[in-house]
Amino acid sequence: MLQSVTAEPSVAIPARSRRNWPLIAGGAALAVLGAAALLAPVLAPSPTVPDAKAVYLPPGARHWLGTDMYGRDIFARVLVGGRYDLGIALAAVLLAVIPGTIIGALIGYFGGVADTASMRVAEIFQAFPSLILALLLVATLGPGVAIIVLVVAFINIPIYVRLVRATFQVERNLEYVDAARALGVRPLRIVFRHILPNALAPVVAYLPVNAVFSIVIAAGLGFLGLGLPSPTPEWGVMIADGTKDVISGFWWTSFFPGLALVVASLAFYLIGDGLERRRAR
Amino acid sequence: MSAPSPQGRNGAGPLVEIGNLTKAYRLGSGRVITALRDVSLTVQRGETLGLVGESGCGKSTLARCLMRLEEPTSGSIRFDGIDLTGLSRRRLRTERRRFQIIFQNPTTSLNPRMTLQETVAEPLRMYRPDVTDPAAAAVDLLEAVGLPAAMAKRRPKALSGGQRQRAGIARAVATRPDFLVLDEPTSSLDLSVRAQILVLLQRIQRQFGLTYLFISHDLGVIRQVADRVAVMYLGEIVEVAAVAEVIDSPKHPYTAGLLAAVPSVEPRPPGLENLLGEVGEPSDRGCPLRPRCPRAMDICRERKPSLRPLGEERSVACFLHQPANFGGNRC
Amino acid sequence: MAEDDVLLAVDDLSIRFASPHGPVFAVNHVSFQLRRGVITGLLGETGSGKSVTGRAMLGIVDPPGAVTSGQVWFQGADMLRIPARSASRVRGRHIAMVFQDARAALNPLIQVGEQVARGARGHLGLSRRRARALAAEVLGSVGIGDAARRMAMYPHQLSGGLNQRVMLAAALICGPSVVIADEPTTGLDVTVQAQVMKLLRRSIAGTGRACLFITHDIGVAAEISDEIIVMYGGMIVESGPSGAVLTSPRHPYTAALLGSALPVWSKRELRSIPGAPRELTEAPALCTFLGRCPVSVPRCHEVMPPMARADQAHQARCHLVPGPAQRVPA
Repeated sequence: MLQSVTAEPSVAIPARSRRNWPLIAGGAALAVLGAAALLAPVLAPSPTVPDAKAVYLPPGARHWLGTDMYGRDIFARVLVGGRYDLGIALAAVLLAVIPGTIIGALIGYFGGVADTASMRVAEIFQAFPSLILALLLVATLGPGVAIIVLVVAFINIPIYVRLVRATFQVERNLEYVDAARALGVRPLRIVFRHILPNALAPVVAYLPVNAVFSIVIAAGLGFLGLGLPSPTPEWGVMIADGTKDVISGFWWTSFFPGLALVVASLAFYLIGDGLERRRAR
Repeated sequence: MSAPSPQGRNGAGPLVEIGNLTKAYRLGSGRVITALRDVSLTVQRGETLGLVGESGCGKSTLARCLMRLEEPTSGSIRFDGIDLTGLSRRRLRTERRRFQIIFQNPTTSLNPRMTLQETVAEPLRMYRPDVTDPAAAAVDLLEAVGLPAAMAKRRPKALSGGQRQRAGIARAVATRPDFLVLDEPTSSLDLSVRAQILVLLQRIQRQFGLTYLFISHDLGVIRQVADRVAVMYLGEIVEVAAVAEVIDSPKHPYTAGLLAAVPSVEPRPPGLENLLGEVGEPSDRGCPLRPRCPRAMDICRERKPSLRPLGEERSVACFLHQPANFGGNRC
Repeated sequence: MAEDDVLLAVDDLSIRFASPHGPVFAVNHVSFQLRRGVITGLLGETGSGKSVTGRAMLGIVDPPGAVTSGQVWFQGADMLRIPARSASRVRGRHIAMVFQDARAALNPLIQVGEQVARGARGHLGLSRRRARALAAEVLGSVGIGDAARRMAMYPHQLSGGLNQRVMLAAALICGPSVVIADEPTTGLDVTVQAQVMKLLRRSIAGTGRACLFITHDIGVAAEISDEIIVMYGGMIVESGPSGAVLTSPRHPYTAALLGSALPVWSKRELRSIPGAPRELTEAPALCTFLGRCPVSVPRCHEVMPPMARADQAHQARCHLVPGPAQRVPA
């Protein structure tokens, strides 16, 4: 059977949709969650006030997501919980990326003793599973939002150090760096003005992934009872409290905070995927 | 060979004097690769000295050592009488203004995330306090090398190879140097663009009174732009002479072999002997060309010929032109 | 020239590429023939369409490129229209290709002897042992001494020149009648380049094969070609015996190219061609060199010049032909 290989070449943009759906969807989801978290005090004024008359109400007209064992409105608590979980995650990422990038850039470019020492230290910390490390640190330092943020940030830093260091080790051998050196540009300026703009792409690509990681650690700490204390409507704590209710048939107390966690993680992943698409184009 | 020149700044005497420069790399496996072996060269003020050789000859290493991007293992580099190898970092930085480099690959030697204007403005800011508006001066300089002002805010990615190379040239001359190392500046360009860039380089040389070290593997380019040429093989200089002389009557068998091999539209003069085999490895003992040389003698295996004058204005490192017991390093 | 001297004929070939910025007309109405025992040089700068033409002759133009017209006649069949399976039987066996970067074209994980022998096993149906023996012989004939030992090596252990010889051996082992060499010496040292070119000439001249040697280097084209084709803007602008084309060019582009070459044996004023070659974003209706041509006439702005005969086998696509040879700027 003869097949003709002469064809009208397709001159249209390849079949993939022109719109960046992952970015749009992820961005929208995150925007909604973020707005909800910000507006929570307005939308849901009293998430911690118990109401003995409204215990364990299933999702309905008055309480959209039902109530828990103290009669507290789950919807309100999920909204306020967003402030904690999203806030902790974003703060931890930000607090990690800046010092991590700076350290990674410097040791990636200059190498030497500082490089070897930093890598050994990072390896020690990275030898522990992250959650265990977080547990140890929180157990030692005590609970509290600030502590949790710092602990999660601390766990994140080595990742950025490695990432940026690896990129710098490649970039520093490229000819444009030679050109800058030949011009006599000072080393610090080479690192931050010349190389860093070229090294940010992997960092930006990793941020959303790191956000998911952070939120899961934060919620995980809460779930294990080492995060914020119980009346706080943090999603992890809520899930932990709600697990015992499932057997009795009260599924909504743990389901909705869990769902919120999943949606937040998914939003971050979609944003990450969307950014990747933009870069590939 | 490395006696300091009598005159210093802006006086007579060669602008660049390279004395017994050696650069050896030690690999992880313990093996030592000698990229440059006892290289001595002078570049006279205002001239274009060509440096020609095939892969592994050390020309790029020499360029990097000259630009102080690498530290030589031993030897000296004098620029206008000043020994660069002994300078402090700060002093070196001020001297750098006077010698710059144009790289072979303009795509990789320009920062992909900087606009042309930023790339050219930086050296202006660093070395030209007389320039009050570096950003505007950068645009002027880009125009002077043939890039319209509209391109100043673009990044290298949007430009053609020839345009990128022009930007590289603008950057190099922004500091008003006296000396430029040109490391294969046209090798990655199309033929019809090559001549444009060479014409630009010649114009700039006249305009600013520059001295060039023009590195290339292409003898055709060297013939057209160089006054004198030094031929390198496996880290050693084998012949130095005026370019027309070297090409019309090469004395070193390697030079002859290069000329025998270079593809050309015009017919080749007869009598040039081809080299055998492939480019070999540098060795401590004997002439580096011996395995390939059609005229190799016994002594070529034992001793290394040194670069000796042969008549006026020419030097050759070959036992064919030296009595065997005159000079030559016993290794 | 006898008609049965023609081993491969390209007829009115056009190839178009799709790109995010619109279509690119890479090859436009290209026709030529490859003859027995003749090395035909295909000379052009980047964007001239020469590499794409070479690949089209093997029938391997991949998306986003596609052939929009023309035929490639080989042994009575059109390489562009035969079934894929037949095409792959022809490739390697009857029409072989030698690429530019041997290290990239050879498989880094397979010993070179094996890579050469594979073709013989697949296309000629030889047994493993006989294929290896043949491979050793062919490697020897391309100047690789100590072939038995070298066969066991991997590409990264060999120099660029040796790798190129390996690639040539792999191409020649099945005894193809046509060899297409796409910039096979670019990137090699000049002395090695000369050896590879000599080798290629030896492999073609006495054997009755035809060869298309694609290059951007005018000196290389001058040395290796018996006949030469000059491409610009996806079209053939001049073709003929290489001596005639290079000493009395009929097309202004060829003359300008010769004028901008940098000769080794004499010194002359540097000349360039003003402007730059550009990709064609629409099908050419007029001469592709218009705008850079120093001798254009009013007719050039009206109609595309046909391929006109300047001499016996020498033709050029220019309104000024037949007329005197173009002056090469001195």
